[in-house]
Amino acid sequence: MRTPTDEDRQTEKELREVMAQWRYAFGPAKDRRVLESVHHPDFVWTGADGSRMDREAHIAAELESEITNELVEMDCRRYGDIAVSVGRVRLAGTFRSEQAGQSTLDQINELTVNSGFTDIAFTMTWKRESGSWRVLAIHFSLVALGTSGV
Amino acid sequence: MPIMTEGAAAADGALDPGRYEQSTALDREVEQALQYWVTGIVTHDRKIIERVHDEDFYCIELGGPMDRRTHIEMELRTADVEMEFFDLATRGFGEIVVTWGRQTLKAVIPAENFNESLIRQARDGIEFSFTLVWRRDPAGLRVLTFHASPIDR
Repeated sequence: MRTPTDEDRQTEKELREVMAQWRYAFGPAKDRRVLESVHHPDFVWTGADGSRMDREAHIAAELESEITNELVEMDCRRYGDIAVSVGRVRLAGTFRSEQAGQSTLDQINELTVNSGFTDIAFTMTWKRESGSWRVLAIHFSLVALGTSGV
Repeated sequence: MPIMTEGAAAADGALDPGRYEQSTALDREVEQALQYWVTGIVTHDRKIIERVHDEDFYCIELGGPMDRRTHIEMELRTADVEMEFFDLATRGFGEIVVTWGRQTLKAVIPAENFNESLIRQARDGIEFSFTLVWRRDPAGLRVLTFHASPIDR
C-alpha cells in the first residue's frame, strides 16, 4: 500500500469514530437505528468460512450478539467517495445468531470460550454518502485459523 | 479456464439481485480483467501480473496478509494452475469497482507462502469466497484489495 496521505489519515480518523459509534450501537446500546445508518444498502459480509450475510442478517446478528470488539490496528486508504480499510479487531463474547455465517460465528464462539478472545483480520470497504461513511463490505478471516495478523 | 457469471442471485442466496443495477458492460469489464489476471498467472507473465496489481495492492488470502511484491512473486511461481470464477456480483462506484464472488483453485503453490495443509488443499482443489476491490485507470481495472476465505463444506 502507498504511504498514507493526509487525506488517508483524516479518513482513518473519521472511520475510527464511526466504528466507535458502531461498536457502542451493537454492544451496550443495541441501537438498530445507528446500525442501519452504518450499513450501506448494498452491504455484504463474508465470513471466514466463505459464507455471506446481507445487511438485514448482519444487523440482526449484531443485535443478538453479546460481543465486544476492540480495534487493534487499522490502515486506511481513500479513493474519492470510497475508502478501504484493513486491520485487526479482537472479539470477546458470543454470537447467538442462527444466521448465515453460522459456521464462522460458531468458530468465533469456540475461540472466545477457549482463549477469551478472537482476533479477526478484516478488509472493509466504505462508501461516503451525504457526509457520512457507510460500510459496504466486510470480509473476515480468523487469525487463529491460519491467517496471521495484519 | 472459463469465467462464468451467474449474477448476484446465485451468490449464496445472500445477495438480493434487486439491489444491484446489472450493468452488462461492467460485468464484462470485470470478467475480462479476471481472465487477463488468470492468463498472467498461467503463463507466468510478469508484465500482466504487475499490471493487474494496483500500486496500493493488499490482500488477505488463505495464508494471511500479503503485500503487492510478495503476492506477485507468489503468483509467478505458482504452477499447474486451474482457476475458475463464478457467482460474480459487481457494483461500480466511479473509479472503484467492488466484486463479490467465488473461485475454484487447483495449483501447486510455493511452500514459503502457505502452511502444509493449505498447500495440500490447493493441490487437491479448493473453493473460496472473495471480496475484490478494483481501481480503474485509463488502461483498465487493477486490483486494490483481494480478501478470500475457503468455503466451509
